[in-house]
Amino acid sequence: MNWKKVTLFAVLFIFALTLTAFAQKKTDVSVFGWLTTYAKPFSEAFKAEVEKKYPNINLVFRESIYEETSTQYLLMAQSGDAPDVSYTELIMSNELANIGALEDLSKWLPKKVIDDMAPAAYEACMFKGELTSVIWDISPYCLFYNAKLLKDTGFSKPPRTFKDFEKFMYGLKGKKDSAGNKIWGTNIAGLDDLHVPFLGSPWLYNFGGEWFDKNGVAAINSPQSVEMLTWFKKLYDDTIFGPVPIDRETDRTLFMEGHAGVIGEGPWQRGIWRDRSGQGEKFDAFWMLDTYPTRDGKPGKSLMWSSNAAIMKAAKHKKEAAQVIEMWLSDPKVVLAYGRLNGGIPAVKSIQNLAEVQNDPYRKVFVSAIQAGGKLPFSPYATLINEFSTVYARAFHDILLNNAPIKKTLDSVAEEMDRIVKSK
Amino acid sequence: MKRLLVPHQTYSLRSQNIRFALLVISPAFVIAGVALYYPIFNSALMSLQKVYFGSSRFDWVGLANFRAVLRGSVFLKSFTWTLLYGVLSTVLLFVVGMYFALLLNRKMPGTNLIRGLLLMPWSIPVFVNAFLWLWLLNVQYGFVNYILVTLRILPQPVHWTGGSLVAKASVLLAYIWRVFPFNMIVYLAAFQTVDPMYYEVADIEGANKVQQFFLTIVMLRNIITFTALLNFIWAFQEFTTIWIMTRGGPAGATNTLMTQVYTRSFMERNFGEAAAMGAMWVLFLMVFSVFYIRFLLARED
Repeated sequence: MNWKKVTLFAVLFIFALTLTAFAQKKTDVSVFGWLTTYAKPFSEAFKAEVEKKYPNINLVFRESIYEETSTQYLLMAQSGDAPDVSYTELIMSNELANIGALEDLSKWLPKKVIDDMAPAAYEACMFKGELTSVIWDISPYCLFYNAKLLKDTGFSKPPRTFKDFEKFMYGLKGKKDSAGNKIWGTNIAGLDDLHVPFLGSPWLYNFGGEWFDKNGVAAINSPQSVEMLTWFKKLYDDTIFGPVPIDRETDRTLFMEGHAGVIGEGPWQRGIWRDRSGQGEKFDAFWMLDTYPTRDGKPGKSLMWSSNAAIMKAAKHKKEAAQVIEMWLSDPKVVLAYGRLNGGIPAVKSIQNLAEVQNDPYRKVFVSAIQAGGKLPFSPYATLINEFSTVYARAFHDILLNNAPIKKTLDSVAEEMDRIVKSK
Repeated sequence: MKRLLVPHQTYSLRSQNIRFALLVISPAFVIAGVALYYPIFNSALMSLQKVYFGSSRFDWVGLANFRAVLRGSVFLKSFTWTLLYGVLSTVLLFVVGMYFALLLNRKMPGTNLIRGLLLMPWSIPVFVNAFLWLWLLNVQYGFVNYILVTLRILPQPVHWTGGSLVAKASVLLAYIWRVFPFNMIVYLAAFQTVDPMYYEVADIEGANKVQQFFLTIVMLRNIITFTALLNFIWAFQEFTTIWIMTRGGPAGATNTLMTQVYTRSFMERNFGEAAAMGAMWVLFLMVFSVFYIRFLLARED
């Protein structure tokens, strides 16, 4: 036996094996956030699309609880254990950008993709001259009405004015289902403090109120804000608004099971209900969608929420992360799939202009809410949402449950909000 | 002088023993240092700083955090409720635990099975118990409302976590439900240590059942005080049940020091004030611990 040849063959074989192994080695690119919680089918489709386009990428979702994500990111920024793709909201991105934890995405994304971003979306993502995140889904809130309850109270379509809305609410007073369960009018889920200002903002804006005035002084004690809370209080005392406080999932269940007349939600909600009801698209017939009511019947303002993506400076695979974000933001196949499953509103012009988006009545309602205007809660100090939320939620519940005097309570909330701004 | 005349060999052996002892206990010291003493030290430092969460930046602010905490009404309100929660739960745990212990102390068929069933709340995880009660008490879908309305005890469902008083009662109920088996089993074990002779004497002396019950209380006073102290400390540190059921609400009604520190730190990101609250809380518990240790020493005497 020629041992030299055998040895050479063995060495070559091992070398070839090693090369193959390296060639096939995939990079685990992590996506942190709450995507799989509410958009599981999309996240699976997204993973397949990304891995098809980039065979070297293995997309791994690291799930988080929405309410804790912001804190998790800040801890990650401090510890250096960062995901590759950070699924954020605009407030979270700005909070992270404020401590210098985010990459400038204009260095990582192709120029044509950045130029394709809707101007408002681009502007919103700029932080101190850097593109610290990109919006991949604009999510204003609108109202989902129970179609049957609308019909039962004499409405063929959702009410457009406050007056009609109130008529619908009082049409539900004392109403029960066949099993004797109470049917509520509407609610603001408030077990988590954050949800109170969050879900209350569209109402505040449409009553003409603001969180802060043009000079950055707290304006939550304005006459419009007092008027809004007086209205809520009246609905609560008349057992139409409520129960208070309640967690958001119970609130959603109440609506889904026909125990609430109307609920405020974002575009993603269609997908959640299709999923949870087990009825798929058939469940769409259960509800009717419209913007928030106003005094004059014009489309109501909303809160301008958004789903963003960012890359933290401590991320390990930035190039691959940028490739994933690029697809998430501008690949028509991915964006349209998200829209079909979750009703998202694209943030790039080229996809916004596609017929599938333009002719979709569901997305049209959200687009009209975007056009009506609205801001993030506590704008321009939206990054302090957590601090403000605990103060406002406590006052809100104190007013509704303990009959705290509205104006006086809001005066002290405004005072506290100004103190928080100054202390920061 | 005699002490200096210890033979060299003995001294060396002692020294070796000390070195060995130090070597053996050093891992425990290291773990305690990293996991306990460093966080306490760091937290004390933090109470004097303004911390910028997410970055390494901080500013020294002296006692400003303590002043801010004491100036606001939230701390005092949550401290008062924490104390009340501790006292009420301690009293109720004594009553409920003693009731079931007396009941199970009798010889009757199926006692062991009932004991096992009554121990279940103590064995299930804390958060499961909290969710269980949250759903049992749910205003629309809860079993408690269903039963009470069906039996016409209530005219309509009650939102058990939707009012200051009912929310307080609900979190107390959930907490007592979970912890009472501990008291029950401790009292039950203690009953076995009481000499039946005392009851025989009491019987001869003409003591009725109530008087005999108080005799039991006197005999078990050490055990009762011990469990009461433990119950109070546990209640003082309770977080999970309250957080899951009410998040300290509504309108801060069930906010304890624990939930308040959590809110101030992880919701409001005000770590300086949260640390100041924690420091005051530790101070209170230290005073309480001194009382606790003195009690234990007195018990040994």
